[in-house]
Amino acid sequence: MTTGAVFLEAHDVTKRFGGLTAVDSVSFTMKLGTIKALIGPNGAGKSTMLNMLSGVYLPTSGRISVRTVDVTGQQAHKFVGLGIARTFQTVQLFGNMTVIENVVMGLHTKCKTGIIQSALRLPSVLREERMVFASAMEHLERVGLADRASELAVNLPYGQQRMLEIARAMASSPEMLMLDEPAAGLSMKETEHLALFVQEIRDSGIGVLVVDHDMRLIMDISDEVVVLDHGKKIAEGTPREVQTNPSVITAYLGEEAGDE
Amino acid sequence: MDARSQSPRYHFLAFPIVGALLAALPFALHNNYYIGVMVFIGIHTILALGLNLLMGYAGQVSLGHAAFYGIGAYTTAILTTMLKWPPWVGLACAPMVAGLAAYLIGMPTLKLKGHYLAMATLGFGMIVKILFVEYYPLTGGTSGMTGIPPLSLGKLQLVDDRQFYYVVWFFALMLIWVSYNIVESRVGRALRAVHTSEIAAASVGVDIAKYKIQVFVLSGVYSGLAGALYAHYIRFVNPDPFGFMFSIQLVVMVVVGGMASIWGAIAGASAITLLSQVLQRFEDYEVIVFGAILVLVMIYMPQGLTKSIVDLTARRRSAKPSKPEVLP
Amino acid sequence: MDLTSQILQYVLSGITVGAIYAIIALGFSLIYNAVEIVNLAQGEFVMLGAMLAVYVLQAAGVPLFAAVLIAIVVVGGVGALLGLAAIHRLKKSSPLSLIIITIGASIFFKGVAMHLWGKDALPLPAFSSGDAIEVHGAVLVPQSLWIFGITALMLLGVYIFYERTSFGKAMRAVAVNKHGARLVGINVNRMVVWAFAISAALGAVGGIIVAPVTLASYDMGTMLGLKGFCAAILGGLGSGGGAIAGGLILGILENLGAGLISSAYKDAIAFVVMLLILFVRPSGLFGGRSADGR
Repeated sequence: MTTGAVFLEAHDVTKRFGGLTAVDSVSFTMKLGTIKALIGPNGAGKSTMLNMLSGVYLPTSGRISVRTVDVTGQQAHKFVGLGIARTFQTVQLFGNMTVIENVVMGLHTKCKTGIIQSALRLPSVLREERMVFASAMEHLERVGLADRASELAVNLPYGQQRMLEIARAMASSPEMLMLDEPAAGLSMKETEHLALFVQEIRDSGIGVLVVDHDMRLIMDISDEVVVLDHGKKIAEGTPREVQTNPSVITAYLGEEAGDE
Repeated sequence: MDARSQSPRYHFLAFPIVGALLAALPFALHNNYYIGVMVFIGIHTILALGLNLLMGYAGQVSLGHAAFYGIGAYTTAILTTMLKWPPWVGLACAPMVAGLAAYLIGMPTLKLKGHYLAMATLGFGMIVKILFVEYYPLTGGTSGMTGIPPLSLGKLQLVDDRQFYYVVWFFALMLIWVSYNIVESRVGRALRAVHTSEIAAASVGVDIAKYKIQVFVLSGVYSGLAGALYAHYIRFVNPDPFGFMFSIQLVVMVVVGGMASIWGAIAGASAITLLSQVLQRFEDYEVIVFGAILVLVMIYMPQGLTKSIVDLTARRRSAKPSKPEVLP
Repeated sequence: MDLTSQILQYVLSGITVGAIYAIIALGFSLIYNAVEIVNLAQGEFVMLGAMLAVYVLQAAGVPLFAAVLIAIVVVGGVGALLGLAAIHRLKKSSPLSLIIITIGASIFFKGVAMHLWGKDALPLPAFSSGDAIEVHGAVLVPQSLWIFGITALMLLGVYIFYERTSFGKAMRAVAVNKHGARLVGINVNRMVVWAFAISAALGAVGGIIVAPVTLASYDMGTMLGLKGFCAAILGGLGSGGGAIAGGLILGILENLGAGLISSAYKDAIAFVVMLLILFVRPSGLFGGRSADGR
């Protein structure tokens, strides 16, 4: 991986739900080894954008390309193969599986065992199982959850569920990681822990796209920030540039005034 | 629901015990009638296993599974009586034909969700049943097909109930083993993942449509084998056993045995098979009682018999008991 | 008979039976709109209506119209009871358990009917005497006219109920948004019970008007119910107009297919049509709700 190389591009991406335009011709690029934040007031279209970049939603118009290859319209499960992994705004773990099995799910595309081999429990199946569980254990160690590997995922406290979701995403060895509000509901300490981990991921050459409301976290860790408001991109730049941008200030102040 | 309770150790302990009990059972049962009932429980177990993989693990419902059972039975009946193929060849072809049928109907059907999937499979089941009745050059119509040869081992023809008992339960236990292997593998995990959160499953690269169709075909294969065993046991087929009512009974076996529970398939198959045997003594009341039991079980024990009993006796606290979300 | 009059004959019989499908389909849609349950006991309401009317007529010796009214009211009550059982489980159950509950209920009803009234098909007198009418070589029995008329009346009644009465509007609100309906003070559970009662009564009417043509028997409901469902899918589940169109189209297709192609596969036609619609255009010919859940 070459840090700084463009990995993903969004060209004039638009999403409409019925009469509502959630994302209005937004363009930006994602580079490897950079943390990019996507911020904006509630309803600005951040999650919708993320869902399009991971194939959950089909853009109404516009184009998404990965390494200059057009991937618009690909099904969601193909995006892992393109090197894109993600987490969700509301934690989407496999609650009835153990912690380690959740991470093993992240390795799904790296394994080959099909229904017939597994039905017969061939030696190759057992070999592969040992391999993926060992690999999953390493990922758990990285997020400090190794000692809870055999617990059911639903039994973890909320903060650890968030970290587990990231570990699952990282298990697919992505080139780009998308985090949808990873700090939501985390304590101060957990947020600091998260920040360090995300920066570690960035330093390993992976591009990280973060959506979050925690401005301190965003401003601390991001290399670049994209600001959305009412589905439109209103600013892009370094955290400092964005903070002083008048239209960004208006957008946020407007929201606060509206909340009164 | 939580497949974790079936840890490998528990499973591999259960296997020889259940196997030994089943092997010894015929020596305890002196009445051939009970052996016959056990043969049917074995056949129904195979059916329930397949449908449970589909419903309990892949979360897809089928209200037409009797069709695959029938396709299996008629396939071997036609091959062994009209083409005079050896019975074992018929028995091998039946699951393949049923699996092929499942593939062809599953491709368009599994795109549907919820009630639409349920009703599409119901419609498919009705059409197949009508074909059995009406396409008499091949199926013999309502009078059915006679003269299906028995299975044989070397020179020994398996015409005795006790012999056939071992054949059926050999297959049933083998398929329990196979099902267990699948459930506890990459494929099984993917299925459970789809069941919990389709969106998360897709995000880790699980091709949901592919797994749905694979499991549908697999359950078709199981049903086809069960149908062929039925045909070589009774040695006569007619359309009656393969109708809508039996499809419903199969679903009830799965629900009563417990969704996503491999051993529950035996429990469910036993419970419903024995129940219909008992109810036969009530003659005209049979349907009334069956209907009432169906409603009451679904209202008061939607988690299934095994699960409800376990819950009552053990009051387990680990992992919030999640309801069987069959249809998203 | 030449081919045209033959075809006309098939179409006329198709409309007659199609009208019944339409009424049943409407019942499906009423309940589906209110609670998103596919009520597979719908066909048994049809049977119960017909059998009860015959029974009351014979046992009580009342005039036909009184027997018919009693039957409709009783079946409506039975429907309400089923609705009560369904809402009891509504929040806790998956759609599958709800479907099975309605199947269990249908088996139960069928068993009770068989036990009470036996396995023989029983006649219900036609609503009016008179000779068959001849239309271009095709024959139409007077009861068919009754079926057309009463069906039209029922459909009109349902339309007025939903569009013009506050009660009907409340029920529509439940269909659109249960939570919202609750917020504005509508008793959702009561609406669900009413939806079951009304669609049961509708089913009963369907059974009663068709009984003089086909006779009434304990096992007449299952097929009629399933075909009514096919009609509802054909027209678009949840759409009132679609239910009517779906019923009529299905009835005509079935009779044309049986007459011109093969009568052996008559019963398969409805299901083949349903599968084709589900595969090609799951929202039905006339809209309604989408089947793929998106």
